[in-house]
Amino acid sequence: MPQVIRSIEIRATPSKVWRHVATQESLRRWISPNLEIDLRVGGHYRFLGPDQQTWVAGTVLELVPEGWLILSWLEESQGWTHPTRLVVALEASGAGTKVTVIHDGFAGIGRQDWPDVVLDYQRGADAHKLPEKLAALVDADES
Amino acid sequence: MKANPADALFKVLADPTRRRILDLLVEQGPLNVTQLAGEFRGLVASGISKHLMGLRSAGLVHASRDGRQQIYSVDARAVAGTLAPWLAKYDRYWIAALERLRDLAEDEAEE
Repeated sequence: MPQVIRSIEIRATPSKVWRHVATQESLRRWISPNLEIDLRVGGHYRFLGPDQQTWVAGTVLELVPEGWLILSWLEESQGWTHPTRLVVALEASGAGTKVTVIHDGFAGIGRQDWPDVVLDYQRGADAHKLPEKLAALVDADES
Repeated sequence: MKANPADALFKVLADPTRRRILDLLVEQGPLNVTQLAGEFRGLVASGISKHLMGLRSAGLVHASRDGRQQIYSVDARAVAGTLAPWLAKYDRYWIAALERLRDLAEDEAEE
């Protein structure tokens, strides 16, 4: 199923690269200057997306220093929210670091962890007070 | 605002029954309505058919005829086509973001 996977080799150790992932201030310098993030598992984040029109929000699903950061990725567009997931993974590569970004569209469908992504999407939607139909969706899923 | 085909797709997927139908088709391969209905308690075949229509119109599911029965399967190519603009946007974005990250980390490493 569709997904975006991109990697880059960086001439710096994983611990040095991780400094650019480990704080809101450092993430702002390469993801988005208006990013607001509570960097701990379950913490929320929000920023104005790549098109400068769409708000992206979600929560931190996993955070392993010098390893990976996984976010639920909820895109609010035309009154609806697109539930996806973003993985930023670091691995030592020679003297440097290979950084890989995986952005799942619906690659999760049919996989074990997909319900968790959807559940998190609904929690995030609730926290960010998205349209009422999303709240109705959460109720329908829980019943 | 012009409707984006990907928006229709995401909207269809917002329904838990439709997500479950897709999951079943991915896990078990092509199925007919009766086989699908067997997986849902409290949903009759006509209810499943209605959801299948939604999935078909969003281009997620493909139907083929086997004698008197319709067999449903996930249309992976159509899904990829519908999501292509959405994916292209993020592909460009992440290429640029990773380059920004590299420049920041390498500048610091050289200091």
